[in-house]
Amino acid sequence: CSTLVPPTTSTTPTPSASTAAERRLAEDIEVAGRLSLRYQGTQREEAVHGSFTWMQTPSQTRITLLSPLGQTIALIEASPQGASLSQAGQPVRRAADVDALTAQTLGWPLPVSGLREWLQGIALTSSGQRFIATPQDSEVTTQDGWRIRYANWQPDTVSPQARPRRIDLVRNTQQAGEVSIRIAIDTWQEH
Amino acid sequence: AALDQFKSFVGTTKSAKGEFVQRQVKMADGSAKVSNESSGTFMFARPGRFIWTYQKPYEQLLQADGEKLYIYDKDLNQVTIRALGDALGSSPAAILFGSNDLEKNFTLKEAGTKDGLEWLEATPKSKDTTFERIGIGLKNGVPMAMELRDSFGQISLLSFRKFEKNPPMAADQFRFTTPKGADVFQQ
Repeated sequence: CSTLVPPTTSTTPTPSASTAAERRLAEDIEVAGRLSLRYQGTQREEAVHGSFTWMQTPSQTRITLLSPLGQTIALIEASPQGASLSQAGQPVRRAADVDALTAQTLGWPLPVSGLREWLQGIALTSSGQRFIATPQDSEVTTQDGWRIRYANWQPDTVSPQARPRRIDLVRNTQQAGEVSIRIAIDTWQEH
Repeated sequence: AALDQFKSFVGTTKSAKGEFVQRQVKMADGSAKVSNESSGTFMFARPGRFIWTYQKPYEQLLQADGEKLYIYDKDLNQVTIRALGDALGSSPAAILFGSNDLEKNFTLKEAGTKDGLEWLEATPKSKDTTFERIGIGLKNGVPMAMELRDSFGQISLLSFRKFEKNPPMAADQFRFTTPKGADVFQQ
């Protein structure tokens, strides 16, 4: 190689395995961002586009799906007692399991239980091992078949406390064919 | 009053452009909590052509060329394309940018004066929209603000600045070009 190129003096610190492994699941978080989703509807391919707010405590998850101009499309709540989903002008729907409820009501699966960890870059691999996503190790297939790619990081792809900024999830489902979800995380607050 | 200001606006405005600020207002136990403010630019030409561009805090574009609606989100690197059809129908876009027979999709009524603007209230006739009510605040025959209320009590407040009526516009002003490298999804 040409000697004209000065040797790089500082090497950018790559997050050592320990800092990544230290990432623990934040208990109380409030996340907001944008979401786009494609799935096979009854007659044709469908796309949903909007923004979301996500409030998570150890026992509860509360999600609002909004249209681009900020109107509430659906309000989803999940707790050990069960899940509820309300949509504009429709009666509240309830079920024991939130993932079954969203799939039935919205026609596409929103993996709420899984996202409680995946939003934070933590997952269980298909072989049941704990996976911690980092910019260098950013793809995983989860136990229930979601192929996740952490496509972008915040503030950058180098600092050890980098947090997921864009998450792509794909899964082949019986009910809605191939479902592809893209999530961009804008704000993140830990309480 | 608001209704005749709005009628004159619709009658004399073929196209317009300007800036907007959008704020979400959530009523939490009696007090209004204003959150996630976004802002950008808009441009429209009747009927059914508009470009609604969010610049901050993220880049997102809603564009209609009279036939198709394009939604592009830079972070998601995705363009969703769907027939405009009735997507415009009973949305705020229809009020500002749609065809001018508004009374087909909305019942309009005076809603008095507030913050120095004369307000009009538009209630969608069709029930399957995410809007419960839309307020339009006008001054000197031009919309200065809109209040979009959904059926969960969530309100989006839009305020307009540098509103320019009938500005010069290129013929292909509303033609959409897919940003390089973006994934396109045609619905």
